[in-house]
Amino acid sequence: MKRQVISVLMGVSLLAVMVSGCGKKGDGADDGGSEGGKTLKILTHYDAAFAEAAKKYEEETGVKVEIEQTAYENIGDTLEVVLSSQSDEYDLIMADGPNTSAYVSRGYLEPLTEYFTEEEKESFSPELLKQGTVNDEFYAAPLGDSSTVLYYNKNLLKQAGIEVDWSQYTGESRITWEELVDLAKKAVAELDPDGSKGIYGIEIGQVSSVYQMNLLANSMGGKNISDDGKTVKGVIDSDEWKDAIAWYQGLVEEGVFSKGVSGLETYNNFYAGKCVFEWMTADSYTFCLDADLTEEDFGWTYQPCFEGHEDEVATGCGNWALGVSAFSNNKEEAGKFVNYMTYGEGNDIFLPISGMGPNTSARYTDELTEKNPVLEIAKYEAENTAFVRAVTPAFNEYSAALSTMWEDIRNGADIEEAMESTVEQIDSALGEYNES
Amino acid sequence: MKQSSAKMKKRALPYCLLLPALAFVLVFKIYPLIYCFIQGFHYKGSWSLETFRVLFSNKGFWHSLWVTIKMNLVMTPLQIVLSFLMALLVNQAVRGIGAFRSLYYLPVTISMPVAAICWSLMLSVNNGLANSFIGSWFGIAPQGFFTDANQALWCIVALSTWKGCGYWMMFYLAGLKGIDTSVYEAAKIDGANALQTLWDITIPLVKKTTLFVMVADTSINILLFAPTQLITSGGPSDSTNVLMYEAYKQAFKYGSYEKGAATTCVLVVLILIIVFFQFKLTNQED
Repeated sequence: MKRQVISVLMGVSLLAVMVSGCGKKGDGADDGGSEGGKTLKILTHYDAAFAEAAKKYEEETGVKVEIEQTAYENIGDTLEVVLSSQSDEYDLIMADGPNTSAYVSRGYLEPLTEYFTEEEKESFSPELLKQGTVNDEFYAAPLGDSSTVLYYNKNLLKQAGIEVDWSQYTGESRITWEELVDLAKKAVAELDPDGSKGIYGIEIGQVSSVYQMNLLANSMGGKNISDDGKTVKGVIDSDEWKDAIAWYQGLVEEGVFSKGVSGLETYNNFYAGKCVFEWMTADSYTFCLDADLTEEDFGWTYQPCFEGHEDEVATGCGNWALGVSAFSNNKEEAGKFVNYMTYGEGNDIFLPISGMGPNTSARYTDELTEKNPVLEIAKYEAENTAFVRAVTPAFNEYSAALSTMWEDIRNGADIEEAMESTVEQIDSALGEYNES
Repeated sequence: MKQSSAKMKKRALPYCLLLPALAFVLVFKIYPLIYCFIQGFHYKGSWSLETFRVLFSNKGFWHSLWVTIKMNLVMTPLQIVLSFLMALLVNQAVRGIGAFRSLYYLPVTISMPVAAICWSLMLSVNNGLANSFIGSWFGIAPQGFFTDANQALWCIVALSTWKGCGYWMMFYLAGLKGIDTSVYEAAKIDGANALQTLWDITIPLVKKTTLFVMVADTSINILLFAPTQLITSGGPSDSTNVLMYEAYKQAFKYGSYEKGAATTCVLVVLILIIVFFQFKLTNQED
């Protein structure tokens, strides 16, 4: 008898736990949390920067922002799972700039029009505003901007007996990729002739990702997508792209660029003094300091240009943007917080901690550039050479296919075959969106 | 009346005891499977076969299907044979055999992510242990392994086999232990040699174990996902882009749950077909 009672109780309690677990977050419950105020929730990898700004926001408004931290590479997948089930788990959505269009097409984001005046919207850099706008509606406000910069290891260059007057390079007169490759080869030949120390010549921070790799083709005059956004045929298989890809693959084969090393590892290689040059983002300056490097150890200069394409330099731009979940129960509060974090005082708190470049030229203050001097270059690039990534609702498919192509090229794939297959994959995805 | 109530309670007891496990199976296995089929037969929110039409007209899908079949055609038989041989070895009554059993079983206790990271470091194209070894001992040029389109899939097969064989070995070991020793004694008296004993006695007597291992191993291998996700991301040149990874990409990277669900439906049907034939083949002689 006792056994029967226990087993029935176990079964019932298990079902109860399951059923209660299936309930939605907001079902019948008051979402308000902080002393009668509302609580907003966000998933982010910039937890420290958000926490500081959110603290101030709560003091001023009584609205609490609950921050859930995750790794940078998990944000996209996690949000996809949560938002596709129309969950009200997060009120605020962190979207990588080019993903905005995809999120809007899936109905994940709420328009921000009523939370920003025209003047406020226009204060953002035009390319960032473009990334956050879909069908003339503003959906994602930029937290900041990014840029690509060349970093060099002073100690390794010194050990290799290479002296370069870096001050001669400016935005108008940059070091060329060809010159840089010569320097890298010379340095590696001196520092690690038999390859036993594992020292690389040049590393790419976001290797095999469209954010950085496409810039090689863009810097030779190649575009990212057709002007109407409906195809990549004739675009990413153009001569400019072929030249850029062949150049990169040749240098991987020669061992100047690495193979089989992830983006994160390339950063670590630079911090560990295993890499002479690293082409990475402007905010990497703060990561270098976090890794206990000082300005005695490393320096930086403008992203190189290709010989014969000096006036076509294309640098990275765009960064994470903030939007309001279409499934949030606190849309108004979330919209106001987005304004605070991107246009208001919150952005002034957020930028120095995150190391991100500002979302508009007007925000480049002395205080900011003092904290991250690389931002001086970022400011120049944002105003002169920033190149927007493809704007398309199929950006996820576009990005995945092209990243695979760049990685395959790195691993020695046939260039024509890789391009053909990538064009087919992306155009097939674009076709589905075009139909709808 | 009292008697029938007691009878009812007695009958209900097994169901009550089974309820927790059944509830878990229903919630975490059956419900998602049904939901997956429902989603797969939807296109843009309405009932339709269009998702399957789109899926079947995609070259990438057929390529993934081929990669999955190719991998399993090699991996499942390889694992079954190796597990059986390992079980035969550790079934010997020699001193210290327990230590060998533990050693063979050890890879099972390591989590797949940890194993994947260790193998990717070991087989790294840049001064990995394997390349250093084959270079210094045999003078062979560094191999791409996970970065080579011709080798990556087989490296995943090797990793999964290393990790999985110990597990299946334990089932075979239990099967071997269940064989009455008098059968072997009789065979010995009849003059059967080792090979004859193995072929005519051991293998037929562990047939039920083999059937279980075959079905379970096939299902697990067809759904193999972690090494692809953690090491190769389906590359190089889509050479490791198995269907399970394709389904994951469709659902969680491209936000197309319907295509992800349709891909999973194909996987389920594929498993059912293979398992059906496995049952047929192994029951033929019965």
